[in-house]
Amino acid sequence: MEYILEMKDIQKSFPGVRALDGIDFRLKPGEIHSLMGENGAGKSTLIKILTGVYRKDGGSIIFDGREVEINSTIDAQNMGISTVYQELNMIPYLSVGENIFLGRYPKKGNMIDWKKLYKDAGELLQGMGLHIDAQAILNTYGTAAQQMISIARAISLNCKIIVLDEPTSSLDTDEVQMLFQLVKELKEKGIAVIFISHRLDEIYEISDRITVLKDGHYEGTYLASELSQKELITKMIGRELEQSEKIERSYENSSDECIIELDQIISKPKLKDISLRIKKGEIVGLAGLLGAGRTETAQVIFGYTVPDAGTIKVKDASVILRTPRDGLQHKMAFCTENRREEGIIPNMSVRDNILLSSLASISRHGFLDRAKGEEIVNEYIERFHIKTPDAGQKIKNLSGGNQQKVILARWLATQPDFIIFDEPTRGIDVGAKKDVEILIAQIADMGLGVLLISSEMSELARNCDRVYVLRDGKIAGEIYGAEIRQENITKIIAEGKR
Amino acid sequence: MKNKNMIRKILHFFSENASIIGLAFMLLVGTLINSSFLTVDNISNILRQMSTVSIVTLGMTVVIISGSIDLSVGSLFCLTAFISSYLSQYNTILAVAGTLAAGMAIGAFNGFLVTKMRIHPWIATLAMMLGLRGLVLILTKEDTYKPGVANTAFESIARGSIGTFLNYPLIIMLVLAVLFALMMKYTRIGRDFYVCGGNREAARMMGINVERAINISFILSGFTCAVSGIILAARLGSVSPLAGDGNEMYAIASCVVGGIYLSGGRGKVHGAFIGSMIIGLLTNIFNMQSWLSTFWESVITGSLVLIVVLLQKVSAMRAEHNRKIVETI
Repeated sequence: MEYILEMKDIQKSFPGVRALDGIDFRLKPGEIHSLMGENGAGKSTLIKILTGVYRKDGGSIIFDGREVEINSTIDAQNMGISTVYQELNMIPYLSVGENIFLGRYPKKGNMIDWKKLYKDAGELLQGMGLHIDAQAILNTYGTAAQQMISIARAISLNCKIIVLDEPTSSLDTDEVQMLFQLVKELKEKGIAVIFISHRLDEIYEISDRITVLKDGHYEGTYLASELSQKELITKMIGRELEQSEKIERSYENSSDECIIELDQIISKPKLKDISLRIKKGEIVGLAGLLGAGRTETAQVIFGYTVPDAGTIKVKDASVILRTPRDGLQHKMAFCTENRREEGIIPNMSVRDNILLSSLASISRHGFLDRAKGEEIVNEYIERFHIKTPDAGQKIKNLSGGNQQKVILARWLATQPDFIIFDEPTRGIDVGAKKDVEILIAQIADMGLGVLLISSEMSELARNCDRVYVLRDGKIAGEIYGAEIRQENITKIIAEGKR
Repeated sequence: MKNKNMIRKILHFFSENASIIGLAFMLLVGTLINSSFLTVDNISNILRQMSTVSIVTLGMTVVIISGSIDLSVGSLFCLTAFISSYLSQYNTILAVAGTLAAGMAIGAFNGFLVTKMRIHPWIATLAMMLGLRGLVLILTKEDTYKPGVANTAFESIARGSIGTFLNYPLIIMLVLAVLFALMMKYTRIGRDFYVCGGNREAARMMGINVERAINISFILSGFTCAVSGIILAARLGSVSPLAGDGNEMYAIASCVVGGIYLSGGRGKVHGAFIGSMIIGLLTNIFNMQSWLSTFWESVITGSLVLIVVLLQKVSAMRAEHNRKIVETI
């Protein structure tokens, strides 16, 4: 038997989305196999099918030579498939030992035998080479230790496959090395490891083989030693046929004044060295793989997170931004990528959603000036072609594209000098996408500075005057004007420099 | 070196069991205020008085550790007291068994509302609290209920004792406390309560029957209410329809003071038990002194709850700061 696990032609749909379309995935015993793909590629969905969280719509799973149906997480666990999640699935205020043997307590008569439990857990941890006190409360240990405890649990369950879902995202370098040491030991025991990470160096350091998914499709499986980083990235994010005609711009910038300037920003754990500048009327793109630190950079600029080191200048004056309120005060705006969670208030009307951030400016003596508010609302509905029967409509009834326009209107109503767009066209259909992109160009033409974060390189190519490429928390390169093309961005991400 | 270790162990013990210090403090205050406070007679009497709330607290502890809350305990306590009082006219065994069954059935219904109907425990048990109280008022015709025939065998449940001081309610309370503590520490279901309250999603993923655990926690709460109800009815020989009003808050306060986290999954039975002792003593001490108006009792209980929660926050922050990092051998 060559494979411990074969997943063939896996299909999975959610209402309105085809999440997986004919995915093949084969895993050998004792191999470390990385699963690669950008957001929405279908990695998590595939893993959730394997671990029994979701049920597949079609295809077959052959585990250990037999065709199986995995209907629940318990099924998966009983077969010997364990997962170490990014968000740890353990019980924080119980002891380490209890977490390892949870639900499988050793007993003396009808009572739990705590002595034996702690002895067994202690031996297991010792055997893995870990200095962890089995009697200590789990939460007294940091993330790295907790992940290793989670792996200890998987080993004690006699598992054959361990899924490590982004285990390194919150670990520092030493901790990552410790984890890798442990993973290599698992490999020697013949346990197959599925590894998910966004850090390319780690992928190449640890993997035997790599399977790439894109937009729910299977791109292929390759030996890590035979796939160059550049090829890998092209397979993950490349789009062959997409128009990359520039969107027309009219703004001529004569001054050299920077609206935003970051100098050597460090913000643990994601940002290691970020310096960038954005001028009036300029659209600056941030490219990079997921996890490279794009959103984190935007959050630092807006005051969402306070950096550990480095300086931020707004219009040539050094500032310290502690909360988003500070960002607002410096006339910034931030359209987040999580439109549903952070952007709109679903049960409020289009009108109220637009006016939400500018209530102070349309108030007089603490009372809202309704007429003035109405004026602003109507102006933006007209200018942005927001398709809504009237301003009183609840925003949740609008399409994604129109919701995005409402959020834009809200931020513009605060009259900012600088605006951040984090994945502004995600989940929006093609027609509305174009509308939103034209709006962004118009906004920059009004003299605002724009920071555009996007996973779609063609989108950056169409819209940006300049693009910074991020790799692993650092600025790896900067590209101007006509040079902004998919192959150039890919090259910088793969090689780490320009 | 050995000495240092000893001191560290003692310090650790008290930081884990801070409520013991609170209890000692209450005893000290009581003794200072009234010289007859620390007599076996008085203590045995106090313990009998507080047994009803303490027993209800045991059930509440299980429910809170499982990550829910039961606001219906005060009303259920009163209802079960009425049921046992009513049934005691016919037969003592019927009164006890019938009441326990009724209490557990209503607990099971609470569990049904929370797990099957997916109603938030605050709402489900709030509705039950109001509904059951109304039911008692209707059944008693808004007046203190006295059974037609007094049943001395039934009444001896609360009035009898072994020797002079070991009265039955005290014994029932202690036995239940020990049983609950053993269950929480040494049985599968006891650990399931902790796991459900600690991280419900993880519990589900690990194959623990979360619904069953929550149901059982509510049934146990119903059971403890029924035991308390029987003790109340037997002690007084009658039941006021307003008995136990506010007991749910005393039970919750006892849990909090005893180190049970309302977020679930943390805390120990003996802590909650000591918490109920502290709050019970507070009442008793207030009744013995004459300088402060008795309304201050509520103020102090409230402050106590706040202080405990603040201390927990501080120690959580320190723990966060001191997270350990492992080294490989």
